[in-house]
Amino acid sequence: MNTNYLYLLIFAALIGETDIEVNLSSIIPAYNVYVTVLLGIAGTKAILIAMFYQHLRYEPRSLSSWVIIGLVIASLLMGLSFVQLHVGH
Amino acid sequence: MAEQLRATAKRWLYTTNHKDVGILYLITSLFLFAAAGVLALTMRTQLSAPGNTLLAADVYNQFVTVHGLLMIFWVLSPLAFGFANFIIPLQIGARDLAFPRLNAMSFWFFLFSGVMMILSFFFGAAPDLGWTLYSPQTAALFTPTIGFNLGAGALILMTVSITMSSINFLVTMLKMRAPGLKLRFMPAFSWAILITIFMMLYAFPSFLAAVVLLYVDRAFGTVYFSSIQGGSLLWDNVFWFFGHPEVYIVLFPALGIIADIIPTFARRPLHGAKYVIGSMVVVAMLSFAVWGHHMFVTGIGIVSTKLYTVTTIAISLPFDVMIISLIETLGMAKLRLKAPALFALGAVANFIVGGITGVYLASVALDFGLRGTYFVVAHFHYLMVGASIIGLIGGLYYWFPKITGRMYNEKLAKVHFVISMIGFQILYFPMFLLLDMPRRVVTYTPDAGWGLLNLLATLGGFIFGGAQLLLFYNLYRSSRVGPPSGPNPWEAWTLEWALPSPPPPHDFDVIPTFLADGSIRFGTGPDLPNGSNHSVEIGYPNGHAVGNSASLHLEGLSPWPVLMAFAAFIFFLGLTIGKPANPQPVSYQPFWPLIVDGVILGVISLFGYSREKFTVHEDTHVESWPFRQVPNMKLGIWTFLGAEVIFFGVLIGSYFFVRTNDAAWPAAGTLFDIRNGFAMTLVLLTSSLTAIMALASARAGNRSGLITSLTGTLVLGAAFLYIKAGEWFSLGGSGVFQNYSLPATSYFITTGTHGVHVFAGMCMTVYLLANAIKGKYVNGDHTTLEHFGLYWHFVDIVWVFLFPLFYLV
Repeated sequence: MNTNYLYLLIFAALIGETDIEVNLSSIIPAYNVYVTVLLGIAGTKAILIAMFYQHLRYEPRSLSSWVIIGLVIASLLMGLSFVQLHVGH
Repeated sequence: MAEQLRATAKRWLYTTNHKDVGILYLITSLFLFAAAGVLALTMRTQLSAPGNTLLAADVYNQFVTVHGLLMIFWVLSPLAFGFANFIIPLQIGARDLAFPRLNAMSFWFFLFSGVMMILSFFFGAAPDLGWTLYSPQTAALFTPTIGFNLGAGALILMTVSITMSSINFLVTMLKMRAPGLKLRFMPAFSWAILITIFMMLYAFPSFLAAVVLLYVDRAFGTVYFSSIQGGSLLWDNVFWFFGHPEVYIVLFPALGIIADIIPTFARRPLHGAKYVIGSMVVVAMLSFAVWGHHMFVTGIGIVSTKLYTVTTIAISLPFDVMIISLIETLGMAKLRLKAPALFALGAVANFIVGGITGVYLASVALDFGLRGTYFVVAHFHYLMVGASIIGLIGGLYYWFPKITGRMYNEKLAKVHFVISMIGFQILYFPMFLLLDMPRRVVTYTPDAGWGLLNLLATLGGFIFGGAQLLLFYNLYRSSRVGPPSGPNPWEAWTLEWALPSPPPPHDFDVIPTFLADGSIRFGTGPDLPNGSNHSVEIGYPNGHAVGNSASLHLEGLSPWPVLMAFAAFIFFLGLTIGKPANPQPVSYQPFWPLIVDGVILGVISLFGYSREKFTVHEDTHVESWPFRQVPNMKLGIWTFLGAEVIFFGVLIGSYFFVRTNDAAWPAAGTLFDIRNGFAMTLVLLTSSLTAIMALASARAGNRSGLITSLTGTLVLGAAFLYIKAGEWFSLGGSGVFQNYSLPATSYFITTGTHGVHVFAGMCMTVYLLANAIKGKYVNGDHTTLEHFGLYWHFVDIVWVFLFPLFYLV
């Protein structure tokens, strides 16, 4: 596929997902599920941008390791802080 | 004479050579070691007798705090990175660091940050809450001095310096190793530095985010750390998430030095080297999961306390492997007890004591009784001073001949060791017995019964401090009149010893090659990866390089690193020394003349930096697994983005923290207009499309397409900021300012920080556009565009998460 078409296709997907995000609250009333799905959609948008606009799909896997390690460490901070606040009290 | 002085000043101000930068780090950190030591001795004098009145309580608190901050941030790490700068390229066979000017800039940022921290004494009062800067005492309401702001500014500058260094060293070590030097064959010191910078890369952005939040709270009245939902617990988390890896960040370089010294003087290879390295890797990973043991008394819940007890005990186990390996290396060895070996052994002995006493603190029950006492002071000083400083001093003696080409006075060095170790034990061991004395108290009453032990500790402090005068004298004197050392006085096996002492400015006349049998060759040969049949084998381990390649002289001088750092210094000075604008609650007016000067000088420096013709060799026949096909600059950008993930992760994590801790958060759409968020998202996503189309146009050689796409990116970036500014003004018009509530605080800080990133991207776009109009980037030279795109798309990705978090939930 012509790369320019691919970029436009990814753009269309990103806009479509954004539209879904804005209207999601009327589809999913349960708050926790809503937030989870919303963040899931944001995650897929981030992955699309990283894979195709930042070309991670075509780079050695080792390159994405920096960001993945960063994400894991940041998630660790958020996850364990959440446990501190809300679990075992 | 004047000409010579000017040439010398120019060399040291403008140098980008890794060895010069290393020497600058070493000298600056030793100077600050002396300064922080004087603070410590003054405190010890104050505590030597009950009821002493040498220091007023507020001055004592400032001394405690600045002593801790200086020793940790401006002495231990920089001293280690002085060695790293000088030695690492020599050990791995690189001609310099990957980005020499960035390396020089790291040093100048570090230097000016240290100056700023010391200046804080002269602006009201220096930081005075202990190095942990616990909230909410750090709120401007409780510590309204400008000096405290200066301290926060110094920490921000220092963290920027460290992040630049981390990126530089990671790219260098992963991409520029000599042919044949597999990662697993790197010397222990190189490994220790590699693991240290890995931890620095991910720990310091967390600290940067924490200090930025703290500074914004103080300067603009935001309420992250003064709110009940955030407050002290939020600070504890974001600080100690950095703070505990920091313990290993300051310890590992010394361990690496020890693991290089002991095999050299025992004449045996490091026993179980791969297990030592593996243990360091395990510690580095676990270091991000133990921070909660500093928070046992904060009421974090039983599940968390159990978890952190387990991880804390677990992290002590790999250290056992390291110590056993070092002891095994000594087994049956005919140890040559030269000064470096003595200091290495002394450091190991102190480390065992400091490490074991730390395990006690992993117990929740014991921690409840011992935390905040002199037992803890003794524990961490056995690690910070006993292991780290003593180990680093071992490194000073070990590499002194390599750095100066002269031998130090061995007898004096041994006397220095004996007095240091005796003084150290008299200084710190009594503190273990003072386990009922609170730390950070300015004095105590005679009936407390602490007088004798404190007197002993003070006596030990002066013995230890006095011993360091011998070190300074020995280094100074020997660097001038010491006998020539020759290339390899220790008959060591690592590559730096194969070079002349001191090494020539360009390090290697020919790049060495590591062969499978462990030998090193200089030159090329049919059996070497470089090709041709010219081969020079060194008389390993005593030989040194031959030949002379003046063309490889890499003594690049550049004025821009020091000027950029100076610009940042006066900019932050302007941000921090403004007079209080409003006493209740305290907020600060920036000192605009300095800010404007800083911005102007910064823009000039940035322009000069980007226009300067500064060539950096990127050798092709190098060992660069696992990033073989990735150019240095691209790896540098991705490494920077990895650090940015943590920075924004902490900002978003802080938002999560207060959000999930606040039952009364306003519903989506009530405070921030969803239509604004939606519009900004569309604009930013479209700008990502135009940015990638700019790259596609450049690749296709389409100049007009490139210019149009870049213009589109610039306009869309401006449109994003325009909508954002409109939203901010609209909120302000409704009375919703940054200090209005936690939702407003988190919104203004997070989206503001993101906005600054968008603005920075727009500045880059202007630069790219100007070059594109001149015809650049369409002739196969589009890598700069690609690198810009990586940054711009990352900023887009951050917004992809901010939009739902602030507007939709």
